[in-house]
Formats: sequence, structure tokens, C-alpha cells
Amino acid sequence: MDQITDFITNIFGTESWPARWFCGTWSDFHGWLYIMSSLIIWAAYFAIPLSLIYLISKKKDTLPFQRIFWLFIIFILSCGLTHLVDALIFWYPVYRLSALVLFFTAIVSWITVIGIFKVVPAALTLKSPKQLEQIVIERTQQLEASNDNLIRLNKDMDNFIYSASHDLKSPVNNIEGLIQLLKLELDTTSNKTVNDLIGRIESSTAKVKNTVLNLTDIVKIQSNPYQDIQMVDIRETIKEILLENEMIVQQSKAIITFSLNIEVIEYSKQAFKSILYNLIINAIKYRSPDRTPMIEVHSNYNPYTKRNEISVKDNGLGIDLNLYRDKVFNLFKRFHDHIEGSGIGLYIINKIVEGKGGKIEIESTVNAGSTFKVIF
Amino acid sequence: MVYQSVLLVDDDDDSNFISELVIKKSSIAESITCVKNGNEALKFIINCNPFNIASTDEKYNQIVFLDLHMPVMDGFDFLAQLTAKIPNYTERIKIYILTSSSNPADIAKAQEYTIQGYINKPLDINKIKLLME
Repeated sequence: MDQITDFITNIFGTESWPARWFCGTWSDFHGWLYIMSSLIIWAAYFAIPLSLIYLISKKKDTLPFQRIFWLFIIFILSCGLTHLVDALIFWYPVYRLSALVLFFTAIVSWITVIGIFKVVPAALTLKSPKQLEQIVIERTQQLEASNDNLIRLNKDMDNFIYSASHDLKSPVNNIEGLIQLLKLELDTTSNKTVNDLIGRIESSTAKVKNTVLNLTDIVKIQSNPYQDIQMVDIRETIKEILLENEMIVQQSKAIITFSLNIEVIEYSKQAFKSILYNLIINAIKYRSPDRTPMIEVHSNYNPYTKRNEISVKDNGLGIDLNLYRDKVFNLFKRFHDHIEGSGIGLYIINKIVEGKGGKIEIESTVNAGSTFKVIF
Repeated sequence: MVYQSVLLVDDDDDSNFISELVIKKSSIAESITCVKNGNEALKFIINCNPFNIASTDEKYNQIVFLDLHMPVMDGFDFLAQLTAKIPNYTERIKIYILTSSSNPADIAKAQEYTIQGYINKPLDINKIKLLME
């Protein structure tokens, strides 16, 4: 134990030995050959870890087995240190330091050996860039084939739905036409019962026709036809919608105002009109019987999200979002039984908006009103 | 404007019945003929080929209300054959597509030919009025 404490307290001590130059006969050539070789080795054992450190810093997270790299760095540095001390001993016989450095290097070298053993299985599974590229090519081909298949299936389904809807529409159209002709033949003014019966037949026919039309609309949405991108004038579009639905607007006595911070939006004209039409018509349909319907349309550019936004706010019946928040955009989901509706409008416009990378947000209070905000 | 002949091309009897009645009530034609498919329509047009009539007569005007989906020869094939056999048919014949189909593919295909319009069934007096304007 004394030896150990002596060793540690005199770690840099040189008094017990002669400097190597004076230990035995060293010719100048021999001595300097030894010294230079040791120094050159030390320099290399210093440069190699430096390059490894550079490699690690450049590759950062993408370099696998980083711990091994660090082990190597420490191992090589300490090897180098042994050779530096070896050269130093020619003048300063720090033999205790030399032993300590050797001991440290011995430990590190075996830690490195164990480290490599542990890592070899994982290293064997690493794929070369060529192998990886090959895998990517194969996967891409699989994806493309799958994609083509999906497109074909989609098209088949579209055609099937068009075919089916056409076969449904034909007789319905005939019923419609025959009713019109029947009305001309019958005296519906004096015979109230006949009038009522015909009215109900017309109404049922219209519902069937509407459902079939809605179904084909959904199919059209799936194939994303809204390619007519242009600078759409918002004010003009709203005016068109109000004009085309003049009767419904007038009957509802709704007061519609707009405050537009942006006047135009770059979008598919058809899609934009569809979206606004659905929101405005909903606002009118789901008005409260207790008050005059007030509908406000706002447009603005949101500088934080860098997106255009349009909101339609009404003071109508509202939706209980606590109960229905997740279901609002579902197909055929309706929240008010006593009002006409197919439950398809919101589903369709949500599909359109999301299909183009946007979102619809709803705020609503039961019996106070709703605000639908479309983020484009 | 009164047409000398209206040709209804549709395999659906009820549809023809309705169209015929509506046209009779709107008095736009001197004679109405119904055929079941494109083949019969072609035969009819070629037989009473207006281009055979002596040129001293007033213009012979024919309207065709053409359905798209029919057996034997559908609307598109009819249009193709008509264009091939009588390339200048537009001088005397006006063709309206009358269909239940709202398939955009159908609409696009119809535009490839020279037609006067694309009407959704059923035909009624108001639609006829609009056509005549």
C-alpha cells in the first residue's frame, strides 16, 4: 500500500532514474530515430481522433454507433499519449507517469474491444447505400401499382354510381313529367283533394330526385374536379348566390350583410361558390323563428397563419357542440328534425375544403347562433 | 318558329310519351316521330332526307331530341354516324341532347359534336319555351 501512495504522490518524479539519453549507449541516430518515430506516431494518433470528431460533428444524428466512435477517439488519444511520454522520457524520466498512462490506455482499449463485440451484430445488419436504393425502388414500384389499382377501382365505382343514378333518375324524371301533364288535364282548383294528392306526389318525387342528385354530387367530389382556379370575386359570388335563391332569401326575411377585408381569393370558382352557397343556405334554413335572421359574411387574410379566411355568422338555432362537435361533418348527419335537409351540405363542403388543404371551424351556441369559419 | 318535324330518339316509351305530349301542347311542330335508338333515327333522317327536297321549298327544319343511353346504337354513335354520313346536317337539323345523365364525362363527350343544347329530362313546356327563344 505504501508503494501505491508513494507512486501517486511522486507521479511526476524523475529522481529515481537517469534520463534515457544517459541510460545505456544511445547513438544520436538511434536516439533521435526513437524520439522522432514516437512523436510522429503521437501526431498521427492525435490527428485521427480529430478527423473522427470532425466526422461526428458533421453527421451529428445520422451517424450510427456514435458511442463506439467516442471510445475509439479516447483510445487512440491515450495510445498517442503513451508515445509522447515515451519520447519525453529521453529528457524527463517520468516513468511513473508513463506507467499510469499505459494503465489507462490498457483499460480503455479493452472497453473498446468489448464495445465492438457488442456492436458487431447491429453493424452486420446495416445496409449499403446500393441496397437501400434498391429497396426504395421496389417499394416505389409497389406503391405505384397500388395507386394505379386504386385509381382504376375508383373510376369503376364512379361509373357504377353514375350508371345506377341514371337508372334511378330516368323513371323519376318520367314521373315528374307525367305529373306536370296530369296537372294540365285535371281541374285542381276546385278539387282540393286532387290538388293535395298531386302536391304530395310532387314533393316525394322531388325528394327522391334530390337524394339521387346529392349522391352523384358526392361522387363528383371524390374525383376532385374543381380545377377551375381563378381570382374569384367574393362580393360577386355572394350576389350571384342571393340572386339565384331569391325566393328562399325573401321568404326568410333574412338580412344579409358583408364586411370584406379581402375582395378576391385564388380558388376554384365552382368550389368557392358551392362552399358559400351551402353556408349561406344553412344559415337561412336554420334560422330561429323568434327573431329576424341576421347573417354576416366576413372575409379576411390572417397574417399569422398566412391564410385567407371567410366566416358566415348567423343568429339562428345553433348546434349543441358539446354533443355533436365530432359529428358535424358526417354524411347524412342532421341535428334538426323539423327542417328540410339531406345532411349532405356540410359533408360536401368539408370534403372540398379539406381536399384543398384547408379547414372549417365552427362556433355555436344553442338558440343563439353559429359561426362557420372556412380557412382556405 | 315552327319546325316541320320533330324526331324523338329514346328507348324509354314513357319518356317519349311525355316529350310527345309536351311538344304537341306547345305546338312547335307539324309532325312528331318517335324512334327507339340511334339506328332507327339515322334511317329516318336519311329517308326523309331534307337535302333531297327541291331547293325552291322553304327551309326544312328538323329538331331531334336525342337520348344518350340506348341499346343497339346510343346517342354518341348516332352523332358520329350522322356527322360522317351528312357532314352538313347542321344546316337543316337541330339536335338537342335530352337525357337523365349528369355525368360530366357524358357532357364532355357530347360537346365534341355540333349540338344545340344539353337538356335534362323531363321535357316540359317551359323548357320548350326557352329553346325557342
